[in-house]
Amino acid sequence: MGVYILRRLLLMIPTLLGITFLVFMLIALSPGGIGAGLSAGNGQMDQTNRAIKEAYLEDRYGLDASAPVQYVRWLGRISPIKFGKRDQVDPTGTFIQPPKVVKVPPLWEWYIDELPVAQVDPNAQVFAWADDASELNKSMVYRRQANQYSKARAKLISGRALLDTELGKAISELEIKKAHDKKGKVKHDVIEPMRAQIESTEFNEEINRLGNDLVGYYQNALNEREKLMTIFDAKPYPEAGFGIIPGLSISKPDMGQSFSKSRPVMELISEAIPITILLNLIAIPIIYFIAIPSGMLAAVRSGGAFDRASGSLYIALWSFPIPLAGVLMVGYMANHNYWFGVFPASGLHSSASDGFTYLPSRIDGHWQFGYLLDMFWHVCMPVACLVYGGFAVLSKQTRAAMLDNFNMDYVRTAKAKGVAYKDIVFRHVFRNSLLPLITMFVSIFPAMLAGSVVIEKIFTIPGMGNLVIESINLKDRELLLANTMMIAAVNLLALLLADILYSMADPRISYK
Amino acid sequence: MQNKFGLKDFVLMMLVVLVGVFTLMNIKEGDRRWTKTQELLNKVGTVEQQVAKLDRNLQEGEASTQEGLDAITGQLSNLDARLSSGEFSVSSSGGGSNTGGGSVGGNARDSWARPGSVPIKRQPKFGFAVEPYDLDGYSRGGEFTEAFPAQLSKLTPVLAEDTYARRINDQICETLAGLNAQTLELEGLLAEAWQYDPNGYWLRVKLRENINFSDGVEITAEDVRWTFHDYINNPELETEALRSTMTSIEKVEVISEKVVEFTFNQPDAYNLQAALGFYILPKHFYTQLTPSQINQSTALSMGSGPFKLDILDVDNQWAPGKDVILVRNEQYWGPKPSLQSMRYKVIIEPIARLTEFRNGNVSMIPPSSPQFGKVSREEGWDDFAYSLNWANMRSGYGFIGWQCGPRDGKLTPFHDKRVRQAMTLILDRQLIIDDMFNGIGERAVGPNNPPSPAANPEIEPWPYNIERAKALLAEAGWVDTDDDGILENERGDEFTFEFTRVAGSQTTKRIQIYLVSQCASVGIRCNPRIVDWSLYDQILKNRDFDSIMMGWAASSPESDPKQIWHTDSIQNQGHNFIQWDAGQDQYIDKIKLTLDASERMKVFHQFHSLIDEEQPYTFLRVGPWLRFINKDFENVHPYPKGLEQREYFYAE
Repeated sequence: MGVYILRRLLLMIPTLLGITFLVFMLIALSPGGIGAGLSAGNGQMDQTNRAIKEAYLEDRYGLDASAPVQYVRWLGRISPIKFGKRDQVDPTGTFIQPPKVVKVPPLWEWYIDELPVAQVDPNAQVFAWADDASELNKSMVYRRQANQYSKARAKLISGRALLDTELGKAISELEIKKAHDKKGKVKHDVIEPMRAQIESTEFNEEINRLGNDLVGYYQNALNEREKLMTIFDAKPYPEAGFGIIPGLSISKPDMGQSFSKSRPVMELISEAIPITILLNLIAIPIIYFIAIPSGMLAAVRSGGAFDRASGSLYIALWSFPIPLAGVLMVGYMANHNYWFGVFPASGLHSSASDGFTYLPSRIDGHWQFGYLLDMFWHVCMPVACLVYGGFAVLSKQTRAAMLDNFNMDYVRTAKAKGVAYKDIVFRHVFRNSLLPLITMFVSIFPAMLAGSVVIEKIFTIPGMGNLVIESINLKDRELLLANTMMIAAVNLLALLLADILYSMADPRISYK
Repeated sequence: MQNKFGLKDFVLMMLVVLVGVFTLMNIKEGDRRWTKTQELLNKVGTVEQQVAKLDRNLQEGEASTQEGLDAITGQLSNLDARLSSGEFSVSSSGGGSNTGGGSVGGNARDSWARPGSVPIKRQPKFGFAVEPYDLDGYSRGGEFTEAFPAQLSKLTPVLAEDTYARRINDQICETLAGLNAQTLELEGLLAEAWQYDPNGYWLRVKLRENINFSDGVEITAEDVRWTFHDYINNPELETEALRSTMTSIEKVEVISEKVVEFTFNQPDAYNLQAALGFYILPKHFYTQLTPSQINQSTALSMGSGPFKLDILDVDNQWAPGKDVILVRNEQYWGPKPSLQSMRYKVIIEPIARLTEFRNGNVSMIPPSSPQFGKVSREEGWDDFAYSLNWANMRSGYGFIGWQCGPRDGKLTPFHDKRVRQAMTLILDRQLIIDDMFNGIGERAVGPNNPPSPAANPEIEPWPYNIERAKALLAEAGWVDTDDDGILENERGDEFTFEFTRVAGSQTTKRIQIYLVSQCASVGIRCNPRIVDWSLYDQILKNRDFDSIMMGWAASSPESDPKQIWHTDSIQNQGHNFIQWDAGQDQYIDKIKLTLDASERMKVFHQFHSLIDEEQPYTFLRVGPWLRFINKDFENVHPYPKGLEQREYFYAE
């Protein structure tokens, strides 16, 4: 059994990679591609400014790389085994990565013969901290140089965007075909051999100026990076994780930051998950406690009035669309103009709840709900929406399983030997009918984490459903991949758990 | 004996579990008390600081009063002495020297300015558009709750770009100058006066005395410089959106403690707005934080505005999903607002929003057009709420853009302006508003619409006139020669075109159906193409459409027309996606170079006339703002600028 579980666990790794890769590529290939949400706010921006903004964002989030490269980079960050230079951790817990590589400026061959390399002042001494350098001093030195480098880099990036804009103008004047890629960016390899043509346009002077500037910016960025690198190598902050051999280390997986919300992904998920779990932890027991007994009763009195009434009621509820039910609930049960309109319409807490005590308490002779009960009051309607459609499947399942078992030989034997009817129902039939119910719970659990988008939207509940949908709509790489990864992992684990539970509940099944 | 789990054991176990749960809950309750106490202590701390400062000011004031008194007594005794010595004749010449002293004093007041003849624009004292203090039932206090239809993810100024964060930050942070709510003219806020180079290369700004951030620290010129150079233009911060639009400002220099000077790359009519229009942030607060702390923050908003964040703490920030709470800034330098606090709630579902408004839990909501039409007619509604429906400077417009240039190398029928005019004539825009927008909104007249001063007041919306449209089409060569009901040109090509609209909206769908039927009635075949919004960007960039339905939003009374209309924006995938080229550049270039506002408006009006004649877009509708506001609040006025919540007060 142990070997089996281990094998299943190891198999999960390639499966997870496959799932995340597929989802990522699907999103990357959809119109707009990864990071499409970032350009949503461009509105009436000037083209040049827009080009600069897009270039900045692409550089910050590494969106200029091709989708598979972006995926591999992400894998490298979440992998606990790291290669190459180790990250460092600053006192606020942020990972400081080695300075990014400076990209070679496009069309540099037009302006210089040889690419410049970083110039290091030969007289400069090897960088070393002063003996009395405190942590604060070190971080100040690092931060100052990091700022210098990002400024130099920003110059390079915006210079590049400006050059591309001018080139774009020349291209439209010369009507060169296929010089733009799918995202509308200039393809430099197409233009490269066309220098003479470009020189004939009115934009030539500007293109030359910008191109020469760009080479200068490149040199400057290289120099600043070199300086930053020496400071980074002197380790201004403690290193992350622990090293095994040089170039190989083990460290905490870094889920990265969502670029649509620019916050750590783990923080976003840990805010949303408790809310979704709370809703489901209330909803699922209610479903089970109502559906199973009524399924049993329906099986015992199969074909009777209760069987038919409960069956049609649950099917009717199951067929009622949740969006409509939610809106009707908000419109009537939350409207104070009706006597039954006593529920809150949105959110998880009332406005005054900041001042509440946690538990119900008596203040100035009035009973006050308290923070906890106030929250339960707020989740009543969302939970009702989650619950009402769930009875049908579970009670029908129970009923069918019970009826199957009722027709079994051992039940007939038990009846014949005079076992009490109550004992037959509970000890023989019900126990044996539990198997499918256990496995059903296992398959419900992953769905819990994904949340229910519709219900969260109607009741304005900031849960997982909203987070998942947003990450897809905004094509937010980190958030999307983390969500996919989590949902996939929980699903796979649940499947494994189901198999284990099977073999435990049914001795006939064994994994060898 | 059988070891059976009986009822007694069950009860016992439940008791143990219950005790456990209660202990846990008690721990929670204790924790909650602890955090609340900490918050309270923090607040007490700031109050103590304020008291200490007030105390010090008072003492200094006393000392200076004492000094002043001493000086006056000294002068009096001096005068006394002179009087007694019989210097009566001095009195007239003394008067003369007094006036001289006045002008010298005036010079001293303007000593910050650049020498020369560049006029100084002195700004009036900053105040309310409608002062609430003397109105009936005025009281201080109360909480105003606004419901947002979308979830906020971030509040930190400049990093947060969406309109909702902006609306909250407008209460927390202030700019050097803002628009007057009624006249929409630029008025000094933190700036007391400025001097603007007539050639447009520099701008010198003098800050007001006695202005301070919400923690009481005075605002100096260094804060302005720092905000521009080390906050907005810091490539380590995620400020790309604003940074990439502020390229026209070359540098900001500190001249003296209260004087800054902006230098511009090139003269541009919009430089003044850009320079005076960004939030001034406290250097002393933000320099305590690392760039990644600022980048990852959710709500580190601090400024000098009339309200401030309820809790401003790096380790205990507001999290999305909670209400945003602002409290009155008791140290505000200007006229203080009457409301004690403002609360921003997110309610995504429109019906839930309306229900919460009816229940009195929310003071203001943006209703949908059908909600507004239906609910505002309910009996007794007017006693309960203000129903506001007005066009303001942020109202955008909807339009159908016609492809004036080639699509895939082939000209569309719309390259002829007579055809475009005919298209406008066959659409009854008032009918569209009445039928599809519940009668809410006005017909749009052009790229700028009233109340914007850039709209030409002489231009009326085009009429609805099928006959004239048919005549224009015939003039343009589109006649039904083979009697099949479809118009053809000389070459025999049928008049068909594609209408692109975004999927998912009922209103655009109805407009599409109307357009198709109106086209059919004059013999034009219109094929709808329905696409997802995410494809729009590509379609526009590639100019891959015959006609397209869209809307432009506005953020200021006159937006620079260059991006949408200039022929430069035809090249390189700019926003002139309809590829319209009819000599508009002369006006647009002139607009950008005319620094004087009233002169600029004249050019704007000429430009507007050209667009009206050419009809590159068929302008459909100006979308007004719709708001329901609870009548518990008074002094509520819809302004051309929007709403001014700092003026409201809670009437009991």
